[in-house]
Amino acid sequence: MRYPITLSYNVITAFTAIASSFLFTSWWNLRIGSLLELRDSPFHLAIYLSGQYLTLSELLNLFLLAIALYVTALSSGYIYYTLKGRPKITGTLFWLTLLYLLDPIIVYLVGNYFTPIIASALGYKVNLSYPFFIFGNQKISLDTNILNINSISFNIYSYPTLYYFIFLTLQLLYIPSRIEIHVKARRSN
Amino acid sequence: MDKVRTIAYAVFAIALVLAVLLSATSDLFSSSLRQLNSLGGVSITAFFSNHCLFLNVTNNMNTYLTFYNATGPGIYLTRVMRIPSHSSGVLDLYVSNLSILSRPFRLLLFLSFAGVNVTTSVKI
Repeated sequence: MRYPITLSYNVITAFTAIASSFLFTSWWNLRIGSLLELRDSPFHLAIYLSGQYLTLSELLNLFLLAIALYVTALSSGYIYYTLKGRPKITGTLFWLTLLYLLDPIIVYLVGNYFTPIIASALGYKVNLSYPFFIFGNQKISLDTNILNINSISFNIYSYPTLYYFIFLTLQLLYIPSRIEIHVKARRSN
Repeated sequence: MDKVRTIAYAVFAIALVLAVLLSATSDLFSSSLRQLNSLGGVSITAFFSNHCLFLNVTNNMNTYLTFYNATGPGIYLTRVMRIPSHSSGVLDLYVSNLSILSRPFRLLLFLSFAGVNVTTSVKI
């Protein structure tokens, strides 16, 4: 076998896409007080409002399943290509997994800097105080004039599950796979 | 574009069309909307009668609602009231200095539910 790392990475990616749709569905949990709870993986979402499961999650999961099938089909095809000596990989799941670490930073930037600008353009006042990189428990406060509400404050609890760390570790194989393809392609030229 | 990627896009497109068809034909879409509509919210009506301010708080959520206080021009009222889900509570609050109030004014109300604290206002 000429490309063992690339082959392993493609098998892992195909497995991860299907497994995180049906088996290991909770990669990251987010809780707002006891009002709202989100449990998600890149291809599965469960929303609970006041402890009640929202059927809306099922609807969204149908669309997330379409993305999971795309990644599985692509990786399965690339397994075939790799076995034939024409290695290829997709970085979709690698970047999606990394995005979970960048998510809190993106939400911080969107919440604190972009939301007030967009709200004031629409004629509303929104001042959000969102802490940088939530990993655990943090207090969020929001000053607004939307819907007769003057201010809202709540505790947000955001944490990754063990599955996230397992899949993040597996997805890090993307980097050596790229190196393997690059090095062996240069050697054969 | 390689052949595999084309096939993967085709799989994605078919899955997407099936998802749209399934959500449109099954009860999933309408039951999601029904559930979202039933989640409800909070409504507050306030009115004066003699020297009393009456606040009628209706809680249509699936959680306890705690009413803490109301502040307005010259008034500060503290009374804790816990309203169970899908029920209402009436607060009658005696206001001693009613004559200084120039109406209409805004009464600030402090509420809490499921770990979320909200300051809202009603016009009186």
